Amino acid sequence: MSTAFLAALLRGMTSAVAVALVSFLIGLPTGLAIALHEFPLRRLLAFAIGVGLVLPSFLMAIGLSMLAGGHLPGWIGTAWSLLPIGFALVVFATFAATSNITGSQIAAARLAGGERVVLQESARAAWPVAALAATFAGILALSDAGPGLVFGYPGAAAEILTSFSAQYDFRQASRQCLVLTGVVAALALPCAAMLAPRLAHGLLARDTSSARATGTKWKGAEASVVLSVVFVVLGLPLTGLLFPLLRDFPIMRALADTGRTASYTLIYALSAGVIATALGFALAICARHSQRVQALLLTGLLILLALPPAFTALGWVQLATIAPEELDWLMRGGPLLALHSGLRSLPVATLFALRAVNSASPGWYAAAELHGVRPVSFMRKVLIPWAAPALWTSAGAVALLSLTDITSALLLHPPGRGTISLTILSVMANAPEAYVATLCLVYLVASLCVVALGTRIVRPWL
Amino acid sequence: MAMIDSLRVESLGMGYGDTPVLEAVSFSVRAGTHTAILGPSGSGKSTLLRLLAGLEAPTAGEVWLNGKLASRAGSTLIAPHARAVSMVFQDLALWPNLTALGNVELGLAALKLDRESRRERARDALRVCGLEGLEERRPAMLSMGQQQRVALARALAVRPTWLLLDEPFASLDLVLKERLFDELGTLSKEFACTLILVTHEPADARHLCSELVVLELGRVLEAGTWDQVLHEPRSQIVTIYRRLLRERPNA
Repeated sequence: MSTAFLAALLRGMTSAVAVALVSFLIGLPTGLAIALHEFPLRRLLAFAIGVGLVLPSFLMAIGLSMLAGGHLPGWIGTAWSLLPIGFALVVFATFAATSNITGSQIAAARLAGGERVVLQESARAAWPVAALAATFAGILALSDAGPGLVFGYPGAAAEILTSFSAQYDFRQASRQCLVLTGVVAALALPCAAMLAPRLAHGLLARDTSSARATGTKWKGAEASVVLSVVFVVLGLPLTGLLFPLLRDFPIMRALADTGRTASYTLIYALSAGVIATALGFALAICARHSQRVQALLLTGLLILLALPPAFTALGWVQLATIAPEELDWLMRGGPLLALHSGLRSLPVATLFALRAVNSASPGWYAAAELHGVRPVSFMRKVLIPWAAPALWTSAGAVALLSLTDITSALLLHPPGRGTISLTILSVMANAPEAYVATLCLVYLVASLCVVALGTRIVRPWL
Repeated sequence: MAMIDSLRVESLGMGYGDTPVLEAVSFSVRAGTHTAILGPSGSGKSTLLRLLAGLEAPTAGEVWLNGKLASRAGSTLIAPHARAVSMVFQDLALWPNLTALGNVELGLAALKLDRESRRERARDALRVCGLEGLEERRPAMLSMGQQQRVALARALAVRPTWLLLDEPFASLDLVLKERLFDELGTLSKEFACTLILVTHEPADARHLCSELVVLELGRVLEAGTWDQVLHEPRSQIVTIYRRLLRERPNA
């Protein structure tokens, strides 16, 4: 293995450790505040944090680089761009772990020593899950090529892309990919094994009443602090996208270029959403009987999620070279990208499906069995309508996530049929800043519309 | 004419992992009677009911229904829907996205009726249970008492031979509970079904049932008519039940 690749691996590790540490330090208190206290803008801020999960890291990187120019050290820019995902993961993991504490447990702590004891006890309950989520965010950062490319601080994932797409050296790319996969798998295995049972036990079937304090005396200060954190993590990079637009705003050109890739983008994204959601639902149904099976399933899926996208994408490329001609429509066409993106996002879809399936009463299944309702009828008339909001949200989330994965798109898209993410990536080095920023803005607005629609669909279900 | 045993349980055992839930449970229920399975929480009452319904297979012993072997150790020989058994679940188990009519109609799936007959029978069951005019409402749009009636209508619509009740009225106030018990008594006679009620409330059991089986820690302590059991209690729990019934007969 070349020293250049080892150096890249080290750079990736540096960013990953920074992402994990900062995500944990700011995500845990933010998650606790959102879970335990009612304060102004609480829902909006939670929504904004959630948006960070489905926005591509390279978009953040472009915004930050436009904001800071060349003044930001590469490792800080890369880590900052990856932070929204890590921050959101830690906040929601903390929220889930804290929501698992019953309302009466929180009320008892509040009676015993006020908010200080509530926070202390909740932090004690939530920190292991938050730490695992932060570690997982660091592992995900290792596999993300985008920000490193933008800031000239390429990690191992970016080196693999360069070997394959710029140097056309498949063997070298494969070797590098195997090394990165080994590192990621070694880190992800213990993390996933510890995180999965907690997910299976807590997040997937909780039934607790909320005991959120509504009248704390620091609610104004709390709102300001959370707002500041969210602005620094998410708002600043996105603000950077607006600066070039003050000089020029080529919206018509951006819309025309987006329109050219819109159909392919939609087809890839929606197909990935449908594939992942259908498979995730099937897996959830199969695993619904046993928490142990669910924990095992989640362990496997978390590892799958952590693996570098280049690993599976290069595997498909290799398969395509030996596949029979009759399979060209799949192996050398758009369906492969959709299939790959869908399978990569399967863990996310399965989480949504498990949450929905586990929230169905076991009595519904027993009643159906007792009355001789055929499984197909039960699924069609009871289970699928019940799970529909979760399934719709899952499809939307997977569709957006599949667009954030530029590695897969770059390695697997058929020539001339790129996505909007690829368009941004390919023009960002040479096109005028204002044009790149406008493209990013179009992407951002479209993503926000999908997220807002998903939130609207899922609200009655929560 | 001598009454025949409609349901017979012999040396029934059940456990989860190494934890036994039921051990050597034996009793019989005569056709047309109302029998209470009475016991404290965790005594295995609900598990016993699930075994009778065929929703789970026992780890030991046998379940006989109308002279036919329905379950034996490790296997369910007659499928739940083929047992002529209906059940009202503790949490009612109403399918939330279906209307009251939809719930009862889907409950008739095993009967292979045509669509019209199925709908007609479902409407009849809802009418008998006092839910006329509420057919198109979903469970969330019904009061708790109305939901109980939908669950009852779903169970009765299949015209079961055995109606199993798993503490379905535990969360109701006394007035509504009393009213539903009275209606249940009438309906079970009208539909000619044998009724088995699982409860931890001796007053509920006394109100609705003429016979009882007392269960504690997965074992049958006593069985028989109320007079037989209460006259000379052989266990501490029955002594407590007797005292409770004397002190608070309507509690």
